[in-house]
This record gives sequence, structure tokens and C-alpha cells, in this order.
Amino acid sequence: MNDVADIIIIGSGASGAAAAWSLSRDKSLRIVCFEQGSLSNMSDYPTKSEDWELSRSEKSSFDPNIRKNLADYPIDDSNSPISIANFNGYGGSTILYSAHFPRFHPSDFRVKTLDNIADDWPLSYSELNPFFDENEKKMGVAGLVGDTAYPEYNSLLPPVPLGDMGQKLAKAFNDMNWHWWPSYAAINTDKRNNRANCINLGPCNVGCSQGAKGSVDVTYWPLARLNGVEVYTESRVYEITLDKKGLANGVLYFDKHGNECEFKAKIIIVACSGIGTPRLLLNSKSEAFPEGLLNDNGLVGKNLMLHPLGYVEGVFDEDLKSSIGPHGCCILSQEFYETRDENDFSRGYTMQILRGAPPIETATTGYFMRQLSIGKDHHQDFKKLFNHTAGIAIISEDLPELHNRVELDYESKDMFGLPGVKIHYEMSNNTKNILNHGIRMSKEIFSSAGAKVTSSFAPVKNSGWHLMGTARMGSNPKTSVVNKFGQAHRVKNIFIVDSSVFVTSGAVNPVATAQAITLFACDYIRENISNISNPL
Amino acid sequence: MIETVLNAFIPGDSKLKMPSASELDFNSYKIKHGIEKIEIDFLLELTKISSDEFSKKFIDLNEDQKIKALNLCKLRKVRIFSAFLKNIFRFYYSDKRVLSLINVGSSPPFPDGNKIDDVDWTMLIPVYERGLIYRELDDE
Repeated sequence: MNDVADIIIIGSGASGAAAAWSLSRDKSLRIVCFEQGSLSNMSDYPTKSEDWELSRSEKSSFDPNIRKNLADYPIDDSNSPISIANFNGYGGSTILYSAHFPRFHPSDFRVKTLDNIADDWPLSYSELNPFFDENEKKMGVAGLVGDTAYPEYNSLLPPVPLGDMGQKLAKAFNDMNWHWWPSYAAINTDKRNNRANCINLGPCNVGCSQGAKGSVDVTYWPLARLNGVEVYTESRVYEITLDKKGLANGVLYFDKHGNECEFKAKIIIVACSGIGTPRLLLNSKSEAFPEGLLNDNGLVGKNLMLHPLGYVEGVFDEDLKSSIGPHGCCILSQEFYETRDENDFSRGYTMQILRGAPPIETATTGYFMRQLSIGKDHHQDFKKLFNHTAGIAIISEDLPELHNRVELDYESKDMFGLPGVKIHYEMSNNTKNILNHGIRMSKEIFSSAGAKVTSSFAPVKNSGWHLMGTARMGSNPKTSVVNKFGQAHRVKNIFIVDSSVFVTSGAVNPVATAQAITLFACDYIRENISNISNPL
Repeated sequence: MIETVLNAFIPGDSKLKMPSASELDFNSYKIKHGIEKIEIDFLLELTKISSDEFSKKFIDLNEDQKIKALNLCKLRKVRIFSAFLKNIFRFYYSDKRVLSLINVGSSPPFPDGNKIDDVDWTMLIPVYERGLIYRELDDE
């Protein structure tokens, strides 16, 4: 086969899959996606056996340094209070995510204008609105229209069930006169698009063996492949190459047998996450970009944002069957999302109500939090905890700071001898104040609900899922890497479409916004393809 | 000795009809998950503490002494203790018999899933009546 494509997409995760589907509607295009991981098979997910919970600390761990799949590369996060979480494989981190799917808010795109901090985005909520809608239809998002914390949604699947615990906390929010709303969740609450409905198994974040969770291997990818997109799995791109005119003309990659290969393309789309994207760019050195591709202004890898998380756990006297239902998704509150004059911080946070822990986690954390003993009282203690607990996760807005960054780590290399990455990250005082406030308010909610708070802390170490800002978008080439369409300022046929391009982080899970940005960018690519493409 | 240790960590509870950890198949779990070294390190430490503090073998201690020995192990060798304890919980609470006894809901392979009752969404009326809480922008 001739190794020339019209478009190469690097990465098959949330954004890469959305790009593949969007662009594949033009069936005249040859589109090839490179994915360093392997295919996932729903029938192999651990939720099909009783000991599924064990897999969270083994092959389904969200920590690449524990999981150590062949597709994973070393990530040294010892210089960060937050560990990086991801999944490298067909479908990317959506395989293991909890499927939270809230949008960014209008104010998230105008942080400088409204709050005089960080920067405004070069695009707005209203520009993205049709792409949010389109994306939610494709991913299958449950929720409820009418949320007072957002402009109106058009339609959503029925919300995930709250259960007794969710209703108990919803009442507490009402008693406090605070906002709450059922979670936005990429979970099929009805049978739809040839996918089964959720039957409340619970462990969404080890892979959904029911196929009800909207991971992109079951949403966008079947459509894109039907349209002819080719996917090369277990194929690691390690360099984007440039021609003498300064345009990208292809990629170098290791195939599944370890052979070094080349694939030419007219347009390159990078969708490798806020860590993988800067890793690839920084590793793509050339005469034109000796410090890494697109890094002439030194911004590639900088401004890393991670959404530091706070956590508060409460225990109720009664058995609320709290462990049953989609683990991450129940209700959320955005009472403290927007900037308020009386706070000692700018911006704000979302409170996400998490269901109770499964048995092993209940026993383990219960013991180390001194809520559960070993010996003769063990079973009584366990009975008082299991199905009696709820968690509140506080997702704080994280602001961009140059010193928070991703660098290549030449001391730790992957299986092909390519450098790993080193993370340098520290929380700002603004973030610390947000988390402190969130913890205090969460304790008030539990108190109002009649629950006893058993633990509260921030930041949560193993929570670095949301990887943003490391190739930011903007109008000024001196202060940004790509423009509003994800198009590189310096190389017109390279596009970045993952959350690397985020200017600020908002205080919600980023995937809905990352995919909306992707669809927005791909419309631009399709409309301008003849002007953008390298004629080769 | 391992049976005594398992029983010290998680004894049976006749009132709640829960089995002790020693009644379950720890050996298979140990082999499947390759924790032989974790077990040996822990048992060596526990043997040493029993000898040093009580001048007895662990299996000859009374129930209170066994718990004291375990707690001393936690204080002195927290990593060894934690690694072993986590595996005890993982072993015990992934056992099919145990899961069937603790109201865990439908167990894999989840033939029917779990039913959760519908919600009366009039609960949201107070939220709705407060009006919009997001910031609307002039240029949108």
C-alpha cells in the first residue's frame, strides 16, 4: 500500500476519534490514524468477573507507572503533588474515564475580560455551541435540560439515576439553597445507536463491559471506520517531519514489530493529550525548530493545568446502597463555580457527588482512615461503612502558569528508546484557596445531610486525568502555539485538537469541550483543505 | 501460621454470617497475584515481633496479643504491613461468597444489573426557582 495519506491523525482518544469521524464525512480523503496502544475488547474488561476491583491496581490502573503496558511511556511526576492518570490504547483515556461530560461555561472563555486573570480564549461559548450539541448526540450524553448553571441545552438522554444517596444529598443542597443538578454523563441511559443501556453495574472506570459508557471506541470510531478511516494500532509516532518549505509532510513511527517507518501526509492532526502532544512536538526537532516542533516561542509543554481535586467523604447511619450506580456520576453542584467578590480566590469549582466505594476500597480506605478495624469488630465496622458512604470531589479551576510544565526526560525511555516525560507542577495559592473553600462547603453539605465526615484532603494525589494547556491557542503567535482552529501558527498544515490547546481550564471535566473544539477545527479543515494541504 | 494470621485479621462473625478469611482460598489468590514475597516479609516480621514482645510464637498468642502484634508491625514496618493488609482485603472482598453476603448488588457477569428507582424531579423546583446562576456575557 502506498504510504501517503491526505490526513494523518495521531492518537485515537476522545479528540482523535471525533476528528476522524468529522473529516471522514468527505469520503474522498484517505485518513490514517496512528495509535500507540492496542485495541480494547469489551469482553476482556474486568467487570465480567467478581474480582474486577483488583484490576484497578493492575492492568486497568489509571497510573501508567503501575499499569506498565507496552504502549505506556515513563512519566516522572515526582516533582508534582498530583500524579498523571491516562490510558494509552484505542479509545484513549475514555476507556477508563468516568464519563463526566459537562461543558465549559460562557465565562470560562472570557477569564481575562471578566476576572482580569490569565487570558481570554480566541473563541467563545456561542461559537462552540453547535459543536457541543453535535458531540453530545454522537457520544450519547445523559442529563437534564434546564440547568440554571448553563445556557439551555437542546436535548439529553434521561439522567443517570440518583439512588437513595443522591436524593439525600440533593435534599441537603436544597436545604442550603445551593445549586445542584443531575450529572452530565456520557452514559446510555436508553438503548441507542446500537449500544446497550446502562444497568448500573458501577465500575465505569475499568472499562464498561456493557458498552453503555460513551468511550470513543463505541461511539465515534465505528462511524469513522465505516467511512473508511484506517487505524494503525501499536504504532508509535515519534516525529512529525517537515519539508524544505517548512510544511509538515509526514510522520516517522515504530510499527508493531518495532520497525522504523515513514508515512507521508498532506495534513497532520495531533491528538495525543496534554502530555503526549508536547512529548511528540518536543521530540520532533529540526533545523527550523531546534527546540522542538512549534516551540520557537518556548511555549510547548508550558502552562500545564491539572485540575487539582479536593475530596471529602461522609458516612450516613443508614444503608443507602450508595455503591450501586455509575460510580463517578450522580449529581453536581456549581453553586461556587463563578467568581464572587467575597471569596479569597478568583474563579471557582464544581462539586461532584461520587457514589460509595466498592468493597475492597471501602475496607482499605476505611482502615487507613481509622473507620474500620481488624479483628473481632471488623465485620460490624464494615457493615457501617459499605453502602453508607458518599464522596464529594471538588474540581478546582486551575490557572495557567509557565513554570508548570512537561519536559522530555532523557533518563527514562520507552521501549523504543524514546524519552519519557517529566512533570513539574505546583499548586497556586488561588487553587489552594479554592480547594480549602470547597472542602469547607462540602463539610457543610454533609452536615446538612446528617452524615459524619470521615476524611477530607486536597490535593488528591492520583487525580491527574485532565491534562490541559501545554500547546495553548491564541491569536498572537508570540503567546500561543495554535490559533482558534487548532492550526499551528508556524506550520499551517499541522493542527492540534486535544486539551493541550486550552487557554484556561474551567472547573469541569474537559472532554466535552475538547471534542467540541475538535469538531469546530475539523469543519475549518474541511472548508479550507485545498489551501491548507501540503501538495507533496 | 498463615491461617492463624488470616483469622486474626478477619475472623468469622456468626451473627452476620460472615466467614473468616482463613476459610477462603488464600493460596490460590497468592499464586495468581504473585504476592509470595509480600507474605514472607510480613510473616517474618510478625514472627520477630511475637518473639521479641511476647516471647511466644504468633500462633500461641491470645486474641488480644495477636491484635497488639499486628498493630506493632504496622508501627514498626508500615510498608510491609500495608502491603500485606491491602492484599488481605483484596483477597477477602473479591471472594464470590463474601460478595454475596454484603449486599453488593448484582455480581458479575451481571446478568440483570441493578435497578435504581426513578426520581421525583420536582426536587429540582427550588433550584429552578432561584433562576440562572451562570454569568451571561454581553457579546454572546
